[in-house]
Amino acid sequence: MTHKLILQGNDAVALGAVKAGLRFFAGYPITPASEILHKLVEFPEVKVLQMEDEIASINACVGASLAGAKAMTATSGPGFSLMQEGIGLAHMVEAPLVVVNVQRVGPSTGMPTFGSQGDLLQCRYGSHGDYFSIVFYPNSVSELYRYTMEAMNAAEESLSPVILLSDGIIGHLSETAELEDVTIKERSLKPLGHGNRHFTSLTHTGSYPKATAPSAHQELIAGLAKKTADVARRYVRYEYLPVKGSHTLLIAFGAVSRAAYHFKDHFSIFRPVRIFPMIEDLKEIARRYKTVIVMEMNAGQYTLLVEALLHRPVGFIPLLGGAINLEYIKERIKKCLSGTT
Amino acid sequence: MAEERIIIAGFGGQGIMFMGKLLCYAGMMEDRHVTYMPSYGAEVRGGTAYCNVIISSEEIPSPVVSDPTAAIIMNMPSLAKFEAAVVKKGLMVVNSSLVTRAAKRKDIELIPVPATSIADRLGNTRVANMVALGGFLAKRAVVDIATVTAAIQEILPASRSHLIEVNRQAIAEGKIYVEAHSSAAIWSKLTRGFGFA
Repeated sequence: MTHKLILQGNDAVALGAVKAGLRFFAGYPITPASEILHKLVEFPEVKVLQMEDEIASINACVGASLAGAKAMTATSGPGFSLMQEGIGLAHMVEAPLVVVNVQRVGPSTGMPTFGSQGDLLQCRYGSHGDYFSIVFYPNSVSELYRYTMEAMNAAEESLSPVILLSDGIIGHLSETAELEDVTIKERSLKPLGHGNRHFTSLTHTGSYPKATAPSAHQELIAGLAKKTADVARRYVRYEYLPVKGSHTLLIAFGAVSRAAYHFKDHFSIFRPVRIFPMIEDLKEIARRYKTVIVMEMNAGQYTLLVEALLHRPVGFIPLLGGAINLEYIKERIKKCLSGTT
Repeated sequence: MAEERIIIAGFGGQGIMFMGKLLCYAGMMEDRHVTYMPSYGAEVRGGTAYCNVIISSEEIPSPVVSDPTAAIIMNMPSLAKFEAAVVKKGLMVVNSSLVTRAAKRKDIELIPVPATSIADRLGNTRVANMVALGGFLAKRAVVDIATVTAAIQEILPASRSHLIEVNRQAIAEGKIYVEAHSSAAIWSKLTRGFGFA
């Protein structure tokens, strides 16, 4: 079923979550993510708690998730930093939940009302230890709706916290949207109170703590890696817009990819939606191009990882301070192509 | 018209966001592709606030407007901020009640509308935004005025329904003002005066 309407990005996240069966939301208001909390209050089927801070919010979500509820929280950079430990906990106790991060300019308080893409590496490496979050980053209001559902599905399937990235631009953007539903997945694991389960944040085998056995830890991490990789394979989500005769591939995601569309007649475009784990197909696609350029609203976070994935240097266009200026992008592409950066 | 990229700017409390939302909603009612993106500081009132609106017959790539085809400027700081950004031959509607300096650009169409004074005359200074919007629509019929007035009813919360009428009136007054002061209208008045028509 699809229907057309005008909707704000943050509201679309809330609606998608409700459609996917959200039952518990705990969060602390923060610009530019607050509308998600505000919208969810309208739905009696969702228990919405405003907590004292983001640390309490993520931990409440872990608890609700272990008790069997589909859980979600939403925040922005400063809150996402506070949630890192809880995200690690959720990986360790295998609690499915969704963390929405509507990115704003950081570090610290930064520019609260301006969008950014500064939290990419934090999604991947923000908590301590080794873990493998699945991360989606849509670029339109319609997609925010759809990928909130996909994120909740992927969380339930992988029994892990899944990150849905947004940014101050698409989060606050209102546009004509078509809401398309996806099939909702349910959790196979029984919640607390059913059968014999024990949860521990210590290294464990099954339910038993094994905090002094290196082999137990090696097995645990291998297990987490395999589990998330298996589920991620069901969500190979990207957009590839090749253009004949182009020797250049532009890589962009989220709000910036919308600006990249302006250049789609001249350059091929690759837009990962599942930005972590990184899309393997990019290796094969990038081989067809002389130049690969990443444009992102940070000082080069995804660029670093694209270089590592492709084993070759790539061009980089930084868009800092919340500004996306097409003239500037055009200039920077020219510079990248003439090899002056 | 393929695509109109509009920046609406003023200070917080002038109803800048409402203008953007309204245009956007009216565009949707006319089955166009629309985007609306607000930009403001941490303050609710005061501070500079602006929004980007795109209305297009095709799918809209970036909702961020860096080269507006039209701007509605509601106060002085906004003129300084956006005057240079408007494309050549673009349109700039200026609230001449609050913007007292002349625009520097000579290569754009400049339409001064004393929006705040007209709103005061209507008994509600807060509808200056709708006067300016009416003036804008007189020049660029991106959406029908009838659609915009219908959209007001849709997006004003029920508790504000008593304000629908004055908002509609304000749009009409803005349109009338611009039409009466456009060069074509003056020319036709003049020629009538000389007995040509």
